[in-house]
Amino acid sequence: MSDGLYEILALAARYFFAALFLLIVLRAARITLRDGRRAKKLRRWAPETGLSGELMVVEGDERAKRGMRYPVIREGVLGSGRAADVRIRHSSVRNRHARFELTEDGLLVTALEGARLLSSEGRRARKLLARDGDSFWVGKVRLMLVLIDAAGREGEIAADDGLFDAPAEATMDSPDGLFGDSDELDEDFYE
Amino acid sequence: MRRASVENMRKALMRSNTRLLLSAVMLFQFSAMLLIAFQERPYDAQALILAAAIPAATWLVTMLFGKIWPVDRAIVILAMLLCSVGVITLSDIARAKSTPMTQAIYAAVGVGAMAFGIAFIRGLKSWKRLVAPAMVLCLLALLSPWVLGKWQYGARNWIVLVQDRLTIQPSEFMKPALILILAAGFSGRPRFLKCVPTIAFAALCCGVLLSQRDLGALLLYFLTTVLMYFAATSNWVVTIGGLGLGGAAAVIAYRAFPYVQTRVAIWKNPWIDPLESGHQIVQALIAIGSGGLFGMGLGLGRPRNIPLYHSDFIFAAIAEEFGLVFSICLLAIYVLVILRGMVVAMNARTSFHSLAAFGIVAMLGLQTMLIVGGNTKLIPLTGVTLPLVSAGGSSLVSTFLSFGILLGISSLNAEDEAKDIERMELREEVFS
Amino acid sequence: MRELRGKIRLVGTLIVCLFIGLGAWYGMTVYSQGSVWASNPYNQRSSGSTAHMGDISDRDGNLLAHTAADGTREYMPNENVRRALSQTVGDQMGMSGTGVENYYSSTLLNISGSLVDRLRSAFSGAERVGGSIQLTIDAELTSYIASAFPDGKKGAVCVINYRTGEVLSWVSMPNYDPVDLLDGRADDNVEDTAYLNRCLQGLYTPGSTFKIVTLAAALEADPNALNQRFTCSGSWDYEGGKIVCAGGAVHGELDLRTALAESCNVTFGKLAYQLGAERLRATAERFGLNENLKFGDFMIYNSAFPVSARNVGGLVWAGVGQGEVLVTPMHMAMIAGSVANGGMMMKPVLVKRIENSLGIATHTGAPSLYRQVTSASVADVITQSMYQAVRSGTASKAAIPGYTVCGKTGSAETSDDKSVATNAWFAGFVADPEHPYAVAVVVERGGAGGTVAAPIAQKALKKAIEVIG
Repeated sequence: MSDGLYEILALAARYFFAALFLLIVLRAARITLRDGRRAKKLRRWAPETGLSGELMVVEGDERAKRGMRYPVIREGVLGSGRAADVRIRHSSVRNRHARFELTEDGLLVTALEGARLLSSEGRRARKLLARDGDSFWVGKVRLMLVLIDAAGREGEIAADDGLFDAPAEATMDSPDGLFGDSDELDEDFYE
Repeated sequence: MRRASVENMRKALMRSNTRLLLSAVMLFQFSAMLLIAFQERPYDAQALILAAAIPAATWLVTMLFGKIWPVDRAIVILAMLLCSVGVITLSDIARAKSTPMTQAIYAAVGVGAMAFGIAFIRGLKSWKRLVAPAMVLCLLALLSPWVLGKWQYGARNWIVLVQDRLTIQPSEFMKPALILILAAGFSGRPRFLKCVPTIAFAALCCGVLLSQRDLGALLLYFLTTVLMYFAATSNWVVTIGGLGLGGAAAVIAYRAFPYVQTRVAIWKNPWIDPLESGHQIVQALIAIGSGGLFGMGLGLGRPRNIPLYHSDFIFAAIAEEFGLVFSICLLAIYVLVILRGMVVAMNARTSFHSLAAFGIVAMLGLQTMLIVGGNTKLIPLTGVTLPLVSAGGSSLVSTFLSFGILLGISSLNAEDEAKDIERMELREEVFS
Repeated sequence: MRELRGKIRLVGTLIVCLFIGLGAWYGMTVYSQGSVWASNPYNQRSSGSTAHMGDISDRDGNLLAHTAADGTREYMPNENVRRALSQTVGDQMGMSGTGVENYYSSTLLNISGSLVDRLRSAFSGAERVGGSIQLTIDAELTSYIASAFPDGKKGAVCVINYRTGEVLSWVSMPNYDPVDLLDGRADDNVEDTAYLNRCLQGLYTPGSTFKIVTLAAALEADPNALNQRFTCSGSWDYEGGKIVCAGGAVHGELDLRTALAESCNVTFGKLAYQLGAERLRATAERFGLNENLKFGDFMIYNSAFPVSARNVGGLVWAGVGQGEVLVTPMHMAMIAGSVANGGMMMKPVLVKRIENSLGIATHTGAPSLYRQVTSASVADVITQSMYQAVRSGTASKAAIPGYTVCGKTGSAETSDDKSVATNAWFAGFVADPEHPYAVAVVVERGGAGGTVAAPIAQKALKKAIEVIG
């Protein structure tokens, strides 16, 4: 190819490349916006993402009445403030009362800066590990933990033919299990 | 373990169709390399091969990674796009044919590293326990150039593996490691005292980098640590104190080190010494100016006039040949990657994953801003490279590794979302 | 986790905003400054284009450079004329970075020319020709001045029209022959620094010619200074040193005008001392020192006035243009011109007209004011003083019978070694609106300004009146 012809091609190509790249950017931006909107929709429909269980109020008053349920995510802060992931509005519960974290053995609750945390026996603790069905005191509110993927509580679960796993297989994180047989899934579906 | 139903998977991932994006990217790569192939007479065989290989590789990687794990495909495509912009630019402007080929090979290694990163983060369970040994390993790796290394470009941070052929830069590989260590150390919003060992580790790394005169990496490590600390603990006092300390250290460095002073002086007015000290930035600005709106055209510019056109100043070379519009779009691509990365960080389930994703994206953004700012005389030059685009094996592979970790976290998010959806449904069934 | 998410969102937004700011700043800077950067003399992107370079002509239409049909570049037939114009016109290899062939290469080669243009030439088979540039330079004047310059000496002469800012002549010695560079090889026989355009790139100690600025500062600070009488006893002591008049002269009692005309160092040293660094620097900076002199047509190296209040000796000697003060000849010509022009410094213009290959004018140089560097009344007093210098003072050799020539000489010391001859300076003008010409001459190691530089200036101004009108 002669130099002159190449020069002409390259000069014309400038506009082509700029336009193409602009197209790429716009398309990627649109995708991002659309994903954002869908994620917002999803969050409205399923607001508690990372749901691993619930904390049910066994004893309480004011705005934390008995029977109220708070969804529990994998990791977060328990308190009465607005930024808390589990918001228990009670005068004895501080803004940031305790931190909780879901481990293999259960829910690890750590009291923050001298907040009042009592085990099920009533003993003051800084850290406690709650298993499914265990209860503990936060301030003056008594909460019971219900984990989804955890040891069975007869009655409610038995009705659901094996949907919830037995404790031995209650591992949160074996993701290959989820996709070990991915070839059965049609790729187009999650394009 | 229960399988996610197809329906729920679909709802969860609910991601837009990336086909158009992928096609546009492949078309760009193909047409650019094709044009480059015709720069030579009669044609450049290596460029032709790359013209076919790059789009094919992009398609393959996107499809494959998307099939094996539910990663965020848009990020994969954008990462491959950036990497290919680097290979394309190098094919166009490099003096030696081997440079773009080496870059392409490193990119292939990088893709492998990306896969490794995904698998690694997915398999990592007990991060808290691994923090201490990881710190030790990191420091050893950072110190290794003292033992095995050599001086290059005024900094001693390279290790030679194969004489004149293969050199690696440990400080690059320590970037993802540092982020993971910081994420593990800062996870769960610890009090300041608990953070001290992690911060001390970061400070130690910075010190080692300072002694190796790697100012750019030092700046990056420092800023990333501060940002991650702030995100993790919301502790304004310590953060501002840290920034203040950093600022004071910068002033002291300016007074104490002459090479810092020259850098700042050149930045202020490079035009008075356009042949010696200001040469780099003057030529870079000339190149950017010559590019104009749409560039001078592939192969029609003279980017080799810019010193270090293949690494530090590759942005100026791109601006010269492709133009202003194109280079701003390039910046926009980085912004989009950062946005998507932030979304991944916000959707993560544990603070560790969230901080890790955040750290990766923050460091990427800071690095890009530093180098583009330096190229355009907004800030003095700092010696970092444009991620994924600049020539440089270590930088490329480690950036891919970071991307792998980010993608891995995004895949974990997707799976968790699917599980959530199921549980919502079941919960309604069960408790209603 | 919610707090963490919130912080991530916060920092993420911050980073994205910074990025957007960076992108916007980058876009705006390149949009506004890009062409200025690209016209930097160190831009070597001219060669390799397939177009024929356009013509360069002087103000009368004489072709200074032209591309023949076979593609070879032709310059003026007379070698002396070629050499005189060498740094101004430039050369094919870009050795003279400020030369028009390099600085304006993109125009001459029509590099950013349209795609349509190229397609048209590709199809018609005719060679593409770039734009043509007509300069304000006068070739006859330039070659005359170059021949009048003392043999074997280095230096520069600049002649400008101080009412329009047009550059009439640049002469920089030593010079070279651009024809020697046509074969693509740099000539080894060329003298060192011949490719430099000393008018724009030569930074010299101005010596007594700087007294123009000191006088302006004194008059601005105290308009009553004219009535003051100064005493010169040949030397004056200040804390830490002594300033002496050149050649051991003792001037006795004099007023400011006479002090300038006789170039009395003692008086001006005292003036500088009284003014203080701040005021003197302020005036100097208004005259354009310490500034980026980047004009549309070309760029001049920055003149420097690095005087601070701490160094008394530096201040005193700066008042007489010694020490670390540095000025380019072109800038000095502009300073002299601004004095002649009632204190108005005009933007220098090199390009009279640019035509594209179709003959359509795409740019016409027009006069525009750069700055009012001093008031008209101060300029008037300085003009009178400079006239006195020519009539009865040190600049008498610059006088032209029948014309009002004003000037200031200078003999700048460049080394502590007394055996090294001083740089001979002259800065002056013709105070006549019909012949508004200003000139600056510097002869390196020439000796006394009055004996060496003034005659050259006289010849230059006389020829300018004759040739240009």
